[in-house]
Amino acid sequence: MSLDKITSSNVWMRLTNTEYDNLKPDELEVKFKSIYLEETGELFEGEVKIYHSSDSKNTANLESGYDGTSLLISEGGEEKLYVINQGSVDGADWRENIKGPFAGKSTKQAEATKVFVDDSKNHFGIEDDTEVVSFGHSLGNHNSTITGIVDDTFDEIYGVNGLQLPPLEVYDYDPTFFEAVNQHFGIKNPDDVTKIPSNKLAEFTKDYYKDSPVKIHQKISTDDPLFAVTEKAGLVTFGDVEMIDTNPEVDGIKNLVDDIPDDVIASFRDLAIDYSVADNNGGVNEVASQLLGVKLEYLEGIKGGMDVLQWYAFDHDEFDETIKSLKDNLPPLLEKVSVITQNADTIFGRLYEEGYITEDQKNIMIKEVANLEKDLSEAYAAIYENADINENLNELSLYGDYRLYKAFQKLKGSFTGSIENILNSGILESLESIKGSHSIEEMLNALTGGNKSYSGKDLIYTTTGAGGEPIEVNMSAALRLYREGALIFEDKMSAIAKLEKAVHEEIQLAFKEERKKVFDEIYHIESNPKGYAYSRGWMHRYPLYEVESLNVMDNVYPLERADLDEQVYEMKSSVDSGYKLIEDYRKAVEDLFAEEEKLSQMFDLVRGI
Amino acid sequence: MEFTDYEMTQIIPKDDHSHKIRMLKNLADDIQSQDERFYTLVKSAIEGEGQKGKIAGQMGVATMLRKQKEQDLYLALKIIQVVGNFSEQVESNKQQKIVIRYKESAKIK
Repeated sequence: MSLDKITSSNVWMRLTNTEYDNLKPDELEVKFKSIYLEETGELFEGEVKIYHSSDSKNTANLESGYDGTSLLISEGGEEKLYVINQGSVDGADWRENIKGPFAGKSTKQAEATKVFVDDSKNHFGIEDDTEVVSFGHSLGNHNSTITGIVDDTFDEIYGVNGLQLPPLEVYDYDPTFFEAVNQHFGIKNPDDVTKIPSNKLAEFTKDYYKDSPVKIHQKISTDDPLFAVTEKAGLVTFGDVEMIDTNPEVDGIKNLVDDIPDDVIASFRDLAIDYSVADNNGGVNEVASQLLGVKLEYLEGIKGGMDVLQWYAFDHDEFDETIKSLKDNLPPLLEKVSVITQNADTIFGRLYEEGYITEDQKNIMIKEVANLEKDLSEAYAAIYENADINENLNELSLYGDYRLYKAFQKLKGSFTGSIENILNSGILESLESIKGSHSIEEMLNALTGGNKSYSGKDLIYTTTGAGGEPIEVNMSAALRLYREGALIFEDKMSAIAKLEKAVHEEIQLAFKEERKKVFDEIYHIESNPKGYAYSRGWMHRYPLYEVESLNVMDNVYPLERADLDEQVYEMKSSVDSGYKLIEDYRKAVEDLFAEEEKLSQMFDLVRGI
Repeated sequence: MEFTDYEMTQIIPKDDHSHKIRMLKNLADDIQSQDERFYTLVKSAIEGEGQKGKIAGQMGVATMLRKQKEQDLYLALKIIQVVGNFSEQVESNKQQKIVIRYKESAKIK
């Protein structure tokens, strides 16, 4: 056994996908060993030490939002440091991280990656010559590529659907590249670097770093939306790249993106980011609120011109906030929507041609984005003409309350109605497949044939039932159940033993102890009758008589009806039947996949994790 | 002259044994928490992770039946009963009937 199998595609990609779960070190170790077993059929018997970026103060101090985990793995005299760089996890991350690299404004995460690797080496106390391998998806690949190429942080980089190297960002990151670019392109003012044609800068970047010693291996889906915009954004791809068609049902979004002008792509991307942030919070109103920057519930009570006046008079702050937000947000939103409206036939026509959306969805989108533009234009005109903001006094004056009322009606009614129609058309669900093509899951499925596939983070086996119907078994879950079930029954048996011992000590032995105390006291009473009689006031109870002797009747009985024998027996039987249950389950799964030679071995080995 | 008298006597002071209920109940809870862990594991493996078909169904039913059976053990009630019986018998042993034999005082003689 060697460490080579860790960098086999399915092992490292699944491990990279696991990074998104933010597991605790002991959970991640079990997960790593489970993936290793499921993919290789072998038990990993080496040592695994884990360190997370949240425990690295130097990394946290950079406040970059970087997340990563390093695993120092050793086996058979070999030792390597593996660093998993987490990609973007939510809308907010996409806003910060994608916009940054595309605009060349964010080098913090690349810097954090280097700091984290240095901190990991210190933490584990390893030598500088220990081989360091990076795994990354999406933004995680971007982070490792920059610091890998510029700082030699990694010996090898493995990336899946990675964000590629942005020359503008490296221009900020690497001082020697900065000088070289300035010299080559005759740049005097660093701001002018954006004037260099992106293809020229990309060519120069590729050539400049061609001798970087880091070995980069990438797998990219031809359907990945990030790949689709790589060229347009002037990003540079390094290393050996394997392109894989992960969604054969469509031709790939790159052709489509190439046909659409850059400014349309940018508008679409901005709206998509706003939508994804709003969608995480939920609902049509939330999407509208996010786009407009106002709380739509403020508009709920506006039923006529008089209501506008009342609102203006009695909730002045709320009114001010709404009008100012609309004045700020409507023009850029209108601009983006207009760009899309002008190109609606191309965008939605091409999405339809490529098979991403239906014809009905195409028609709804073309109609509704036109409506959106019309509503937004009218609302903006009404607000612009009828409410005036004095920026110096920070005051708002109101002129035409009826026209404002109509503007609010537009926003509240037809604007949200158009958004609702778009959402109801199912187009966003249809476009999910584009997002899906960025995922590691789709890549794993494309690379894996036969009866194996992946669902989420788990390995699925499929066979055919007697009636010809497919039967799927989540093998990761089955092995987990078999392993953890046994651990639970071990724990249950030890808990039963503790109860049994406690009953023995606290009931049976305690009773013996109490009984002994009684006998001791009886002995004391009978051997010291006069003293005891004095203490009880019996000695001279009768004049002229005194106590001669005391005899205790000695009614001390053994303990009865105070055991849990029956319950303990039942509980132990329940553990036995529990083991049997999971053994039966194993057998049923093995019978279903009798041709899978390694399956039985995997069940045998999984309890060694 | 001699005669005898009888006294029902608390020869050892009474004790409260209810702490034993709490102690044993905690241990029983630990056993039952293992049962809960198992149901949660099966639920997540069978229901939560898209397991379908006959095997998953059988596993689900078997686990549900186990759960019902384990709940039928009434362990907590039984513990209260056991400690109650223990306490009753311990305290009963502490009460003894003493035969007191009186004899004419020697000083009188």
